[in-house]
Amino acid sequence: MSNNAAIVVDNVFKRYSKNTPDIIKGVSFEVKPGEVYGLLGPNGAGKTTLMQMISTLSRPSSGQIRICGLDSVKDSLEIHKKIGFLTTEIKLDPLSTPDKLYDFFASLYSIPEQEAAIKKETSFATFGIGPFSRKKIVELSTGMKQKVSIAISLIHEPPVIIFDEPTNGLDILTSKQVTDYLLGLKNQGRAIILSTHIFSVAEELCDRIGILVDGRIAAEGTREELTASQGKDKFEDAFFKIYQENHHEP
Amino acid sequence: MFVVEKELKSTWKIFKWEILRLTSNWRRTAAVLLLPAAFMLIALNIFPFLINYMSTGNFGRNPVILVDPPASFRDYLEEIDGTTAYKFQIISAEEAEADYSGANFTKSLKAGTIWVYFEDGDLPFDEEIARYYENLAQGLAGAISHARINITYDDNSPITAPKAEAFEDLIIEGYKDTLLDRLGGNFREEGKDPFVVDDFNIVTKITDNRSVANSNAARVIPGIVMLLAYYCVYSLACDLFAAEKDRGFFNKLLLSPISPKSIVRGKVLTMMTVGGVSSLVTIFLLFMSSWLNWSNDSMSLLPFGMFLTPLQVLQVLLVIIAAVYFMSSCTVFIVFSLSKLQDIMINLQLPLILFLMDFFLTLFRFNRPLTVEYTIPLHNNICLIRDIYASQAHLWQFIIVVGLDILCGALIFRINYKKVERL
Repeated sequence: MSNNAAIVVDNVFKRYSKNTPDIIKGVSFEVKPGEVYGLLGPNGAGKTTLMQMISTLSRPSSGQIRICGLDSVKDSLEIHKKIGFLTTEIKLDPLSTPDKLYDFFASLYSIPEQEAAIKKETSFATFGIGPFSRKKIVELSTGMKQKVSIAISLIHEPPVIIFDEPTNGLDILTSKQVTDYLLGLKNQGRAIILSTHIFSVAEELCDRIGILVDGRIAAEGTREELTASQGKDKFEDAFFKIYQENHHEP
Repeated sequence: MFVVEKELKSTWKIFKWEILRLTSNWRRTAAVLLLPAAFMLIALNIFPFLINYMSTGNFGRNPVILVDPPASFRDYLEEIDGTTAYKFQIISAEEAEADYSGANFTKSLKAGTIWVYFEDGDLPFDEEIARYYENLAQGLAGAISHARINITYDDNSPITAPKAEAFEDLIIEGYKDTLLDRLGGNFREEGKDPFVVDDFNIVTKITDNRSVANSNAARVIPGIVMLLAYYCVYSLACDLFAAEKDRGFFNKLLLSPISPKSIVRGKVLTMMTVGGVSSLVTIFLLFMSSWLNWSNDSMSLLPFGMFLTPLQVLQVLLVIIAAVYFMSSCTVFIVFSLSKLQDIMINLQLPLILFLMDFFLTLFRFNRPLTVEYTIPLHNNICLIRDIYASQAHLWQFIIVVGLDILCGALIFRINYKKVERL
């Protein structure tokens, strides 16, 4: 494992109780600053579980996860200052407004009021939230809610971004806006890990891709490396071959 | 020290956010703060009718039947017309004999009727009284009146007995003063005993009715107060914990750089504050309701948070806040022990049934709680509030009840913190 990796996942296992099988089975990989790592796999492969462990929302049963050199179990509060976790599964308080939510999270991250106000203006302008900043969340479109969620999650400008299914449920315009924004963050030197089951997202955004099948990383590499390793012309065909070779019906 | 200060600051941030969130929407605020009070007002105003119905099978006021009242009493009735909760019916002795003898009389008693007979002495009633005062005025040793007023009622009925006692205190006592004015003759100048009214409510004789009203309140209010406190905790637990967990927003908070303990503490502090304020609003509205109440019926005093002294009100509030703390720990435990929102909601509603059962238990019991009952969490809060209303509370009970709530709550919160950290 290299010393300069922003995310290090080292032989991680996860099971929810003693009598149930492992959901994650000895997964290892690392993500460097300025790199986008994609976890690609079908539903139920364990992507969300793995993302939750990386974001410290759940603990590995064994193995270790390190973010910017910090242990995900022992230093979770310190890690929270260094990560931005985004997921379409998180829904904001329907009766609050983007304005109030932004101010609240700025206070949680102890960002001074003046600094928070400048950041809010910039962030809201980037995502076009400004005209809706005083509207209730419940009155906003799905895309706008997701943009608000992204703005809030990245309020502290974290060096590591964890994005679970970034374009799930978004229309093509918002999806494009989100992927462009992520590429911008990558160019700023942030380490990004995202999970997806959509090929186009993985192909467009990811520098390296880990294919997760039944809780294991079945293959890992760049899109070109993975395609070539399976003797296929298309990445999509390579993925299906890897999946068929590694998937076992329970 | 720095860690403690940081934790307190984080708790304050969450508390401030939750309070602002709750108060930013008037419907949400009204639902949490005013609904319990409104519900209690309705419940307490309906309660006398309910008790009346349960004991007599009738709604509304049952008559007080006056058998052959003397002229002085008829005049008195005209004077107090409209200022009393009693409905009077005057009949002659012959009518009483013809219509209400034997089984009919028993039936009328069971229906909640109060019978008042005026018994003459050596002379007719009014003349007997006039002669008595005359004898007193002349300083006649051993002056005595054989005139009597007999009140007959069903003393097994929980509604009729206090009504009859209140009738004696309010109506008959007032009548005595009228007698003095009307028939006192020479004695009137020296022996006049003025009618005592309080400055607060010129019609209601608060002190006379206090024992009657408070003993009824001690049976009714504790169960309702606890039920409403749990309603408050339940709705806040659903909003602050269950819904946020389901929406994933709780996870978003957990991903902030403040500790899970601070998040839970901030939310629980919100629940305790809102629970306390809600109880205070309830008690205040009850007070106002009574202030507007001009009835002389002791049962009509029920809607008053009763006649608690400021210290007693404070005691009730502390007991409720301690109960809210313990309830909060239990609701948070339920929220973090179950994964599906539907299961959480159903399990959060179960204690409401227990409180409802306890409410009826307290309502229909006439003996004081057993000592061991003060060690049963939450039931002991009902017992203690009952004791405070009945002016029977002791310091040791207060210490045990509040201490147990805090101890049990703290223990469950320790488990809750671990659950939240391991989410």
